[in-house]
Amino acid sequence: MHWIAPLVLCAIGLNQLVLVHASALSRWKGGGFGMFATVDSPGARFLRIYLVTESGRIPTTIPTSLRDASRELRTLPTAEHATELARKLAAGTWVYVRMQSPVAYYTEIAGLPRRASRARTELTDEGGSSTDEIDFRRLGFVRMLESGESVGPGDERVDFSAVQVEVLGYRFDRASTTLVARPLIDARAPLEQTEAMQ
Amino acid sequence: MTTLAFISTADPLARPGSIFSAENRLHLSVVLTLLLLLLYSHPYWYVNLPLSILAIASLIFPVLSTSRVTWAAVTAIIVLGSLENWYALDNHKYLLGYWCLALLCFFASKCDPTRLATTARALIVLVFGFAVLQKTLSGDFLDSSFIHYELLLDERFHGLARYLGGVPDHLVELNVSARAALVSFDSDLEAVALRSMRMLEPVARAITWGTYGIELLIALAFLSPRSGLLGKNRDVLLLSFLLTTYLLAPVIGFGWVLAIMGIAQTADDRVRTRGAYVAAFLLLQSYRVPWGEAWSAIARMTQGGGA
Repeated sequence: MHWIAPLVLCAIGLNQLVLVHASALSRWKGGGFGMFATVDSPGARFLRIYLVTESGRIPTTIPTSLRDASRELRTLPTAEHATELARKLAAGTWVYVRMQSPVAYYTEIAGLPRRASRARTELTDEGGSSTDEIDFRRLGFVRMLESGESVGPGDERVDFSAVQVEVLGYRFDRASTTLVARPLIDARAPLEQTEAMQ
Repeated sequence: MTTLAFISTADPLARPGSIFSAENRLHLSVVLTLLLLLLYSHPYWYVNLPLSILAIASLIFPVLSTSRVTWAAVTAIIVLGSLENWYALDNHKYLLGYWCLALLCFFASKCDPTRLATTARALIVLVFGFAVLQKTLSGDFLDSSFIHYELLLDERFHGLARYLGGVPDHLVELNVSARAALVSFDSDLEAVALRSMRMLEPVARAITWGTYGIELLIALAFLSPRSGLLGKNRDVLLLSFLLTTYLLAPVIGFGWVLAIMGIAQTADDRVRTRGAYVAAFLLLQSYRVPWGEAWSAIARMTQGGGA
C-alpha cells in the first residue's frame, strides 16, 4: 500500500508529459513538476479577443465571469476550448464602455433628473463627455455585460457579426533579449441568430 | 541500541518524550501536516474550509489525527477539489495530495514507520526527478534563457538582477512595460526588445546550473542507499535547497511539504536532522518578509542619514 502515492504521482506526471507534447499543456501545470523549467508558463500566454463588426475588428478584454475559462485556455490551448470561449463571448451582450460617477449612475438608474457635476468640466466636448460621465464610444472600448446586468438607458449595444479569439504565447530569445509572440490557436464563433434577435 | 541509549542521555533532543525523538517522528510529521492543511492547503474556499476544520479538530482531539477516516476525508476533499481546477493548481498542491494519500495508506495498513519513510523518500525522488526531467526537456532552461528572462521580468528576482547583474531600476521598469505592451488586449506587437546588462549572463548561468545541480543531486541522494556518499548527505542537500530556493521564490507550502517528508524519512538516530527540518519549517515563515522592500527602505534611510 505504501507505493500507492508514488505510483499515482508517476501516473499523473507521465500523463502531464504526454499532454505537454501532444496538446501544448504548459509545463508549469498539470502535476508534472515543471514549474520554473521554462518561460512558457500560462502567464506567458495571452489572448487577443476581437468583436468582428462591419467597420473592422474591435479588440476587447476578457469579462470577469470568463476569467477561469481564459486561464484554462491559456494553460491547455486546444481548438475546442478556444471555440467554446468564442461561443460564450458571442452569446453575450456587448456595450460601449462608459465611466460614470456614482451620482450620475444613481440618477440614471433611478430615473431622476440629471444633476450638473460639481467637478470641473473642461473635459466636456462635442462628444458629450464630462467628468461625471466619460464616453469611450469613439475610442471603441467595449465590454460584455456580466450576469445580472442589463442594458442601461445610456448604454449603446455593439453590433457585431462574430467573435474571434486568438491565443498567443511568447518565447524569450536570449541572443537578442527579445520576447517574440507566436500564435497558438485561432478560433471564431459567429453571432447566433437567437442571440442577434434579443 | 547502545548508540541510541548514548544519544538519549547525551542529547536532550533525543530524550524520550522529546518532539524530535524517534518515537515522536510520526507525531511530528502529522502535526506539521495538519498545520500545513490549516495554513496553506488550497486556494479554493470549498476545499480549504473543510480541510481547515478537519485540521483544527485533529489538533484539538489528537485521536482524530491518527484516524484513517480523517485522512480518507482529507484526501477525498483534496482530490475532489483538485479535479475541477487541475489546470490552475500549482504542483505543490498535487504533492500535498500525494502526501495525505500516503498518510491514509499508512494509517489504513500496518502503520509501519519504515514504510512511511520509504514512501516519503520515493515522493522526494520523484518530485526532484520530474523537476530535472522537465528542465532537461524544456529547451529554454539549460541554455539559461529561462533564468535570464526571470531576472529581467520576475519581481522576485529584481533584487538579484539589481545587485549582482547591475540592472538599474529604470531598465526593470522598461522591461516590465515592454512585456505589458506585448500582452495588452489592444496590442498588435509581435515582439518587444528587453534591455539587459552583460553582467547578467554569468549570473543567469550560475543560477541555472546551481538549480539544476542541486535538484539532480537531491534526486540521486534520496535514491541512493543511506550508507553511500550521496545518501549520507541527502538531508543536508534537501535542507540547503529549502533554505536557498524559497528565499527567492517563497512558495512556503511547497517548502513545508518537502520539510515534512524530510522529517518522515529520517533514520531513528537523526534527532538533530529532525530538529534542522523543524527549524527550516519555521525559518521559511521569515521568507514572507518583503526583503527587497526592507533593504530598499534601509538603503534610503542610510543615504538620507548620510546626507
